[in-house]
Amino acid sequence: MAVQFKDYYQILGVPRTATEVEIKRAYRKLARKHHPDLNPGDKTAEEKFKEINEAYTVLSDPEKRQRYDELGPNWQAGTDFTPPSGREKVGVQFGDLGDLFGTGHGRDGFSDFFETLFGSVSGARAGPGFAMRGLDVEAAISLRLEDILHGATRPLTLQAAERCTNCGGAGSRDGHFCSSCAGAGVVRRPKSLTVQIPVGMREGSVIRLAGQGEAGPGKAPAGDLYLRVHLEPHPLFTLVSADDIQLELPVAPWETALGAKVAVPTLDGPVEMSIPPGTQGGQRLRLRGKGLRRRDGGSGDLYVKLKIVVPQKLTAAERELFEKLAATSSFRAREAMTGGKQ
Amino acid sequence: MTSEGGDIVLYPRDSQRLTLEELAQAAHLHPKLVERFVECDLLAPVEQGGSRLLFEEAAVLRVQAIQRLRQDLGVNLSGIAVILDLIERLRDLQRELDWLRSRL
Repeated sequence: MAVQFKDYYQILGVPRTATEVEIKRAYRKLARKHHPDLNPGDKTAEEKFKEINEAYTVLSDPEKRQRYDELGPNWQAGTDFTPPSGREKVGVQFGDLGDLFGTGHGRDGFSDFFETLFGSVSGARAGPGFAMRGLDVEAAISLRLEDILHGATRPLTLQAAERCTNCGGAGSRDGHFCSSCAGAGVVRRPKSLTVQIPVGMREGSVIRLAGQGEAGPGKAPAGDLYLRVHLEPHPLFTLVSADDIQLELPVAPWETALGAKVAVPTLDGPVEMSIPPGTQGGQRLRLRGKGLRRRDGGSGDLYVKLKIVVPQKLTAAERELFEKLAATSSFRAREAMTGGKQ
Repeated sequence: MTSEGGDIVLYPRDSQRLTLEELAQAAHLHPKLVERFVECDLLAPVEQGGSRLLFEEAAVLRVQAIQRLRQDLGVNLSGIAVILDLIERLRDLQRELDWLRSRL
């Protein structure tokens, strides 16, 4: 598999002569701009940050920087790269990143170029006192209000690293880099799952599936999968609080004036609601317990906001009736505003 | 495999609460460090089960984000508190914007 050369100096925007301080400053500046936590949901920022992080991992470590510099200044970014012979693979230790603080980089491994040069860290995570484990995977899952009301079963396809079947996760075979995973020990391929969504999820809720993250290196256990819930906008209902939803219901003027029984859509199907006589447009009627279900078994409410609509075109009979009403009625719509004068 | 999903249905354990130790383990951090996050109000337990603090599962992702901001950007804990609040506001605004756009 062809591996493409990466110009780490170019990625950080520093000259090859840059000092450690300059490299750190350049990294911090770029990291602030492209950090995935500061750019939620932005895939390009995530990719960019991975590149920056990899460049910094190499250039901030004198030993790695030296090995990288030994390749010489004549490589162009993106050209096919074959490592010079006689270069042994060296594992990367993350254990020195902090004693009390562990590591916990919940992100993908480094590029094939990095792994060709420095060995595999993909899927690996070593914190002091913790066993090696596969990476945790975080993914977004879009749900409809109906899904979180009743719970649902959702198929899901993720790009996930799985243990390479060719080398069994070792990264090498017969003393050579494994050809199917380029020495990483894991390969990325789409992984299909079906997930049961529990009742009571909300925007930003997290579903944790233990052991469904990335495969660990060698015989190490897999990481966990975290699904962050995103609620799709609903064509009828809007969320007005954690558990309550609102619906705008069009009604005819006579339905609110005389009172009426009308069918109201809810997430559970239509129910009948009474509109009391004299109800105003814009007023909210509450259907208790017809909102979102909570984990504790209770439910929020559905607010029905009435919107008075009139026929766009009147039939002759309708026009006659409205005209009769206008002539007969003593109702002053703007009385409160004008103090009785119209 | 198809995009229709695997045959095995995964059932997450319902309504999980994590102890501080479980949270630390899931986030691959030392419990003492997670305790410090709680002391600095970066992380709030959802309930107190006796003398133990209990956390939502979403706390794992928050703890991991805190740790990434510390390591990648060198931000201190008070700085992280501000960043996380701003990110939360950004998310809310983005959500509102998406919703308003969907209505246009």
